[in-house]
Amino acid sequence: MPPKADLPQGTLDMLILKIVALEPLHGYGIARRLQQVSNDVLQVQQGSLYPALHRLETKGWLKAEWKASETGREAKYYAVTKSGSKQLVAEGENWKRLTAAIQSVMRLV
Amino acid sequence: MKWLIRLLKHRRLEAELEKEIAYHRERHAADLIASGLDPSEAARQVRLELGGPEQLKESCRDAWGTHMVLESWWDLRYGLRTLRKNRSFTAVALISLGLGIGANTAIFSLVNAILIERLPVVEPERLVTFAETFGGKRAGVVWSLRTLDQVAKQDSSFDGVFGWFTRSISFSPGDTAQWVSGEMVTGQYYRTLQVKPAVGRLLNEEDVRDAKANPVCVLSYALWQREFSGDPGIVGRRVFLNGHPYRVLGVTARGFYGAALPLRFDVAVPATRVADFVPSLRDIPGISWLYPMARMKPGVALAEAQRLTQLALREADPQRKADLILENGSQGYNPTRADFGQPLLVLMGIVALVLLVACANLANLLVARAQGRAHELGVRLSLGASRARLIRQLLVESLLLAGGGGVAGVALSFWITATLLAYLNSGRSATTALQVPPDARVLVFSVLVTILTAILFGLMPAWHATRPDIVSGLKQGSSASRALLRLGLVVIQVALSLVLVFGAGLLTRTLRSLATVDLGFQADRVIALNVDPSANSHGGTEASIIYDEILERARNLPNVKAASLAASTPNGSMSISMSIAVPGYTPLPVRGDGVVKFNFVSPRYFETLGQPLLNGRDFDERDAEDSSPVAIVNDKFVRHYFDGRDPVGRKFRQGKDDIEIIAVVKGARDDTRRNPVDTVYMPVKQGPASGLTVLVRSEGDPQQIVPSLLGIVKSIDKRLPVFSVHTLDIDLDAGLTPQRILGYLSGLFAALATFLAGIGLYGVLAYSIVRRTREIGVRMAVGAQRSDVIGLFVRESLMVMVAGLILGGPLALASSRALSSLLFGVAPTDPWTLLASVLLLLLAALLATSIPLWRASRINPLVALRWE
Repeated sequence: MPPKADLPQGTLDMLILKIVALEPLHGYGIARRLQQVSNDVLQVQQGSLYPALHRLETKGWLKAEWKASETGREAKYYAVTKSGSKQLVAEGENWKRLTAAIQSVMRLV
Repeated sequence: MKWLIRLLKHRRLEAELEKEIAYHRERHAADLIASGLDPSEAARQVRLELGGPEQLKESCRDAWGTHMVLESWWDLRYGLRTLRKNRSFTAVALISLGLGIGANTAIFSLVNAILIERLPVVEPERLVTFAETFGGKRAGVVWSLRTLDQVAKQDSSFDGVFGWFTRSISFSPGDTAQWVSGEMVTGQYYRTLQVKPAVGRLLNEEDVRDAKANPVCVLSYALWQREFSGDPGIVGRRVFLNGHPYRVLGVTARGFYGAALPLRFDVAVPATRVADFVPSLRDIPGISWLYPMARMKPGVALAEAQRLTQLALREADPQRKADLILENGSQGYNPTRADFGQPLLVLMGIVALVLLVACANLANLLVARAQGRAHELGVRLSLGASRARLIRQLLVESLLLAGGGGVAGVALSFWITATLLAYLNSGRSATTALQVPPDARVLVFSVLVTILTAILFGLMPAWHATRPDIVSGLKQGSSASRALLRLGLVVIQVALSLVLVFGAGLLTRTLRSLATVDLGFQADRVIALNVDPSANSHGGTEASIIYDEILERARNLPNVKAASLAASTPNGSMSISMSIAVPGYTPLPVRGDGVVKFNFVSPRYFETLGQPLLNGRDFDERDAEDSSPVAIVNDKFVRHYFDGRDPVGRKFRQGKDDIEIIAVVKGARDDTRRNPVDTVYMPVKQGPASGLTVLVRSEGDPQQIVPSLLGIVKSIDKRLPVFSVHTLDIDLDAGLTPQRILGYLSGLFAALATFLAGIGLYGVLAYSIVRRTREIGVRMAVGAQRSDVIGLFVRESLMVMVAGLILGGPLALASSRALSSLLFGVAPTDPWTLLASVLLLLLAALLATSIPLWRASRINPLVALRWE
């Protein structure tokens, strides 16, 4: 297992939006997908994932729907809303600017 | 609004959250099992990784944004349960809060109607009224039609200037007649106030100018509804006002009551038709009788408008000495303001103090109750509940109590207001009756007072009950500080009660001085009957003949000692003031010097009233309309203008007349009981022949003569309405209404405050005795006597009382200054009243402490020693 990294403050929302934007997923699926995509570097705790999901839903960036999952049980599937995709674009831009800025600072040394 | 929807779907949200988390766990466990763990190990792993489900749920709930509301809802339910369990506490709290908030709401609704409410017209803040200052004294003004015209024409700062006057008018749509409240208005009245018609149209400048040939009138919405059931066909109909035919032009919009709050007009007529209603004003274009008002142009400063108006007035009359001032006219003319304004503010202060005492009392009870809940709160604090959370919960309880008290109070306030109004209006005719309709501002006030009350009595006990040391130092320390806190609260109650009792004492003594002061005449057994022949179009000589006939027939009734006529009576119904010149007297340069009160009376007026003639002769048949003018003056007048020397046979000048003084009478007070003013009496035949009062002194019960008197009027002209018939002493009594209300209510509220303070003292002492029972046991075991034990507590209660009285004494003396202008016959710092108040409070304290002290004296040392 590679070493786990802490998520930078405020990026969890962006990552969730990004993953859900690909296809609607339930909470467990989002956690798994995040882990897989980041090659096990990013692991999100249940204790931060669900409050974040509920927060995003309350803000109207995610919408939720109960439907049968791959195991046959009903699960709560989250999908991105229109304002959610806008938010994702905005946060993505912001993130690019931020990382570029950080990189340019780090290159100084 | 989304959070509200989430709040309503709260149960479903909870279930879904549960299901969502359970699903996560299952999938996680299933994946772990699939990767080779055995089921029990997998379950353990899941629990370990995921932590407590409740914390997780809690943070999700936080994300919903509904949590605060829900917690408050739980607090509310919990609070309700707690309050239901402590029935007696809740009852005491609700009753004292209900009384306190109810009294505050009721008085505020009067304050609102009389002092705050503005005219219900467009932008009332731009309206101004006019007054004058002369020699530093302010006085209201009346203008003539001519002056109004001059100001309206020359002044560029106004969007309209108008004048108006109010007078009772006999209104008849056909066969029957009734007295209604009339307004005489000038042409720009409706334009300036920007009042819209409900039907038809309203009086304009042409209507007023042409009214001599074409009499028209406007009805109020209330009269239109009352008399014509809102029939739109009223426009163009003919009605009779004081017997003269008028055509109805239209009806004013609903909610418009006229230019005087809180009076209500019924019929408005052009000012040019005033002679129909006040015959004495006929054909005198220069006479001033209209109350002027104007609307400022937007953006014009008051000072600038004042300067321009002053210029316009000076231009018209270069002799003008007084300085004009413009005043805020947003309330219109408000005659009740002068009568009731200050008493109302004093009452507002009184009820606010009573509410404070009630709050202190409740805080006291809450601190006492916190002792019973110390365990519960301590446990919750140590389990990790935040202090803010606990304070919030305790405050929700206070808010519940205050809310219950508020609802009870508002309900009670309707009753209090109605009772007060019934009392205030008992001496008034229906047309001048005060009305206090329900008002949004009053409701907002009571809600704010309720919330403020909850914070006032709830915050401090909540703060105290949730101190962090409640867990560690649970026992001794906190109970001592609690006792101190409660003593402090009682000290405040005693101090505030002293302020209230002292104020009530002063006001009660004022009332007694007013009621027993020598009026200068005998008011009992005198009937005052207001009848006005001009109300059925009898003018001049005709009216005079009608009055003479009424007098003559009244004098022949059995049990009538004397009967006479007067233009104004001591009940202050109307007064005429005119300036005079006395040879040999130089007027002082202050306003009002050289201006005296005039009254026009018939022969035997002084005999009827029992006002003693000091020297000279009464008026008689010789003093007719065309004979040389004569006058009787009062002794006050003689002291002022003749330096006390006998003035009989000397003359003074009024207008063009040289008037000879033929007698001197003793001064009489009017219904306000103020000292008699300089007064000149002239024969009624040499004055106005309308709006006179018939005065009849009876030998037996005056009420028995009333039907015969009314019969006389009716037999002369059955369409002649009698405006009012009262006995003079009842009328004069009505003049004391503001003082009486103040006296009674302040007494009532002072008693209530004292009672509450007594409860406070009782509670604190009883608590102190319970707390120190063990100590008492020890003391008695080592030889203390019962008297020593009682002395211990007597000292404690005395200390509280003395501290409260020392704090309250200066407070009482300072606040009684606010009363000084309302007092009569007693100084605001009267030491005897203060001493009596202190003794009264000590007596109340004695009563309050007697039961706990008696109980303390019964303590059995053997039981006390084992006391826990």
